[in-house]
Amino acid sequence: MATDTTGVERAPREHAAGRTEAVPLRARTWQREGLVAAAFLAPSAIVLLVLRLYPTVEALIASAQRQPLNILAAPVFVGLDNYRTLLVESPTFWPSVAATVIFVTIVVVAQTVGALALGLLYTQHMYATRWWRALVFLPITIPMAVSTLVWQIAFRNDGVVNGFLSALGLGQYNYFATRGLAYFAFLTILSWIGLGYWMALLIAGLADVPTEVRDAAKVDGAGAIRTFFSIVLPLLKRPLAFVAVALTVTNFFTFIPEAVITQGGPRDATRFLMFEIYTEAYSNGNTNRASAEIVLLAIIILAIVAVEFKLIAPED
Amino acid sequence: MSVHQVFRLRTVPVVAALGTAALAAACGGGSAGGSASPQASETGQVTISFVENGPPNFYAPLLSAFNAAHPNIKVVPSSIPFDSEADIVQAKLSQKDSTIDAFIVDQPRTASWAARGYLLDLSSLTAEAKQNLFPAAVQASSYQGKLWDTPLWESSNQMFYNTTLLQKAGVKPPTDQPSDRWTWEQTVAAAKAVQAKTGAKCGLLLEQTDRYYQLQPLAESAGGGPGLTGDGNLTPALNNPGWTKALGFYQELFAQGVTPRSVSADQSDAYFTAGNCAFFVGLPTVAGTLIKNKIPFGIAPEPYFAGEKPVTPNAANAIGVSPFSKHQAAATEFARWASMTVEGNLASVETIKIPPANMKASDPFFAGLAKQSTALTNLGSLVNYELSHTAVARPETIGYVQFETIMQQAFSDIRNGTAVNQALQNATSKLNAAFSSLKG
Repeated sequence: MATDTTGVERAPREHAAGRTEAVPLRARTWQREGLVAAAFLAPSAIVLLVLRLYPTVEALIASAQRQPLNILAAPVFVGLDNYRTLLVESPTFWPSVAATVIFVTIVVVAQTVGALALGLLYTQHMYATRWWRALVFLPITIPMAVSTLVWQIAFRNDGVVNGFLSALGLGQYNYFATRGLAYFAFLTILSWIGLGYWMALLIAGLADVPTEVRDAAKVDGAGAIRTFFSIVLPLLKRPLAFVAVALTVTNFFTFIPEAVITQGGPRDATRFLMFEIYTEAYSNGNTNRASAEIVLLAIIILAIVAVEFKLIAPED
Repeated sequence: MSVHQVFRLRTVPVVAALGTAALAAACGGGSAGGSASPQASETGQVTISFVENGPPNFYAPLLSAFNAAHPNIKVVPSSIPFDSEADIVQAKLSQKDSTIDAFIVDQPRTASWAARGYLLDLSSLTAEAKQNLFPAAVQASSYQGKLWDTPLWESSNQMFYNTTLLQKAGVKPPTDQPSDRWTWEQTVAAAKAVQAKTGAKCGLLLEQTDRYYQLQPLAESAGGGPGLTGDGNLTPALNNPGWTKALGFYQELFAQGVTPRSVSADQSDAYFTAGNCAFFVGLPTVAGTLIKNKIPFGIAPEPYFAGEKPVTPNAANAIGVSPFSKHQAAATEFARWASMTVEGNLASVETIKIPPANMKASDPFFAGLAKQSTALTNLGSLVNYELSHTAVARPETIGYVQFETIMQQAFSDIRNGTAVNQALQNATSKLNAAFSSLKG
């Protein structure tokens, strides 16, 4: 080919031609792929920008301002004063944080254990398992406000819960008069609504535990309890971590039960952060201070979730 | 995330579940016809939205009469539960939302909402208001010498009793004369006697559980004052013997089983009119259902604490116009007509038996009630006596909404057993924090 001048000439020409044609082609392909990727990403990016980034920036700006009483007046820049007021002077902010952390801790532990127990139960060979699962899952399809109203009636002094307990000789209770009973009632409501969802996630995790490993444990003489704690639970660490983190975030945003039933009572026991923010914004009309509370809420959630991941997430 | 975005996502289901889903739709309908300029005269069919806080069809006779008298203005109501209305209206108006045209204003909120810019100045109607309405009603709708909303009613509480239960228990009922007014102590003793002898679930029911409207007269009767004092009524004044005595009395009603804990303000009328209770202290609105249910009843003046002065509540609903409405002229006409014409004001009390704010509507209203039941023969004279001798206004303050909200939480805690002084101290602390930003 080297002696073939035509060939020698043709090769570079082809090479040159190939190169001169290939570069724009690749560029065009890259550009086209880039456009397609951008088109696919655009909806998410726009949503992220409009529903996440913009509101976050808006909240940060609002939290550094004070709106004069008349809404037609321009807001005044006050720096960190709203944060100082909340952290130092507010009689409700820290009690609200404490109430939220206590309640979320109770709910996360109770619902994680409850969802796992149900998951284990409904992965056993039993009659109509799928129907039972569906029954537990069903309440999540009902709007939360509706479920809350129904449970509010059930928990009334003359409601069915007290009627049932009375019939069993266990007495009657005023469920929204003390912190303990109010938390019990709220935990029942939130669990009735959400437990099936968390159970479904853990059932998926349980299905991923290899049968061979269980069988091997059985051959080694491990009983059901030993198998659960030494085999199943360690292999469930990832879905359990997800459930715990998701439950934490979800319950920090609990709002409907206290808004509908207790209005933060009794004695501020259910004045959780979302209700505190709502009250500050819409009852007190102080949206700037409420914005500062939202920023603080975001920081608290991020800190707690980071700790949770550190503690329970798998190292890999 | 901003406050409004957070709660736009999270409060919508609550609002919807509470029966307010119609709000957005109805408010959205407010843009039909009319001019974008508030001052411009509107021609053609105009649709205005009216946000109210009554049960379904509560304002239906008023709207029907107004629409008949104003064929070119259609009023579309949106009902929001009483306890949520203030928050929702505030939330929308604070965003300068133009979809609300007219809305119900609880008169004590007038100062607070006017100062924030949520109400259109209706001072052009002042002369007509003074000519047609009771002076106390005009005063309650005014702030800093201007008229901000148009009064619909004059509220006054009476004590109703279930004649059948009292007869069964052999308890002699009170009369409807102010000179024979019972004390609270006397009333509770009679209520307990009825419960003991008839097994009634409830001896005495206060209509508006945990609400300041209901409990202010108790505190004022015990010498505790309105609970606010100082410049602009922005200083709490709750830690005094009067408030402690009044709320101690309130707490004991529930602790001793005289009043059932589970009956909320929204359920109290139905509970009494079902025949469960011996005595009921509340608005004369309950009379309509008593008559309808054929429950024999009688009326008496609201009791007072022995050795103290009689006090009754006052102030009721008014109609405000949004300064952000695109149909201000039509909305103002609706507010004017409902309050200042006899026809409109009588229509506003057709389903709710509450004294009208219009002086000329008062006599026909009470005469109509007297025809329905002999028990109501003297209601008109009793209400007029209370309005001129015992009625107290709620404190005029730009912090009223916060005050009302915080006090309601304190009353609820006291009802459920929290020590009175502790609850009042807690409320004082919250009020000071809430008012701090209003004093500057």
